[in-house]
Amino acid sequence: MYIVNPTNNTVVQFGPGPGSKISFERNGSKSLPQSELKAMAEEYLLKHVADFGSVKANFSFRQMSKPGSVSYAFRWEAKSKPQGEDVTPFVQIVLSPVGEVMSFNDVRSLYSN
Amino acid sequence: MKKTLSRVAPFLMAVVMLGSFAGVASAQTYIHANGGSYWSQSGSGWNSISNDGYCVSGRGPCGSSLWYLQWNYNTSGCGADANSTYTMASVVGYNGDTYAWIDSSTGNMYGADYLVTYNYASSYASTVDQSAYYEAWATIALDKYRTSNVQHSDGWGAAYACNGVSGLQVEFDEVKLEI
Repeated sequence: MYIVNPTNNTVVQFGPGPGSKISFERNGSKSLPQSELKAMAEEYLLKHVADFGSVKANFSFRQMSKPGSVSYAFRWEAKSKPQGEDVTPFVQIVLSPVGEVMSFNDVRSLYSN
Repeated sequence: MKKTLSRVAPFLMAVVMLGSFAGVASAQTYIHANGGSYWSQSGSGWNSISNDGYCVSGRGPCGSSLWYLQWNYNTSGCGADANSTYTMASVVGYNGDTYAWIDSSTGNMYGADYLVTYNYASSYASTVDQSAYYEAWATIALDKYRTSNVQHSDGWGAAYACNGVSGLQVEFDEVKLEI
């Protein structure tokens, strides 16, 4: 399912929608090295997020994984949170252990106007 | 997402007015905390993680008593051992969207079971892949008229009904209703 910001036609999020049944590889024992997964994540974001270079240079990076290493998240977060907001603007991609794209977020456009 | 009004409502539930995103003149967002007054739970096997989830120190409209999330190992096969219900704080005659906050420390259940009650007595059985979301809202249901509650269990959702896989962690954290 895709969530699009209609004010600028950018994708805010995509990922498995409600009721979906997507056969991602979730066996953590089959995981590629995390360095390789990170490189795949950055390659994807460079291709699909126009200013990812700026994001990478200015946002804080975090890497996370779920129990069992069923997936890995690569997240770049703004260093400050706009006043009154709960969630810090972020760009994130979630990959399966073998590098399939499971979900994507770029919520930055939701914070302007 | 820019807020035009934000306040903490009674009973540990937040009401936030949103701006003109998505071309809507205004919308209302209600965040229902696990453990709050609009939440009930039953069954066994509950685990909790402190200061984790949507409501944590420095984030969310909830008081410190709600700075935690809960999780439960999934029930394999049919049925469920643990259930929760989020009663919507505002039930009105408009279409609404519901979302679950999925964190990073738990929630690897790829067939999480949700049931949305709407339009008085209609129900929508939803399945959410919690493994694909990290510190983000995952959609439970869209465009449901007069949503009145969201139930969430540790069983398998309709898309994977009666799956025999066990040992997965089902996350129970905040549920958001946008009208």
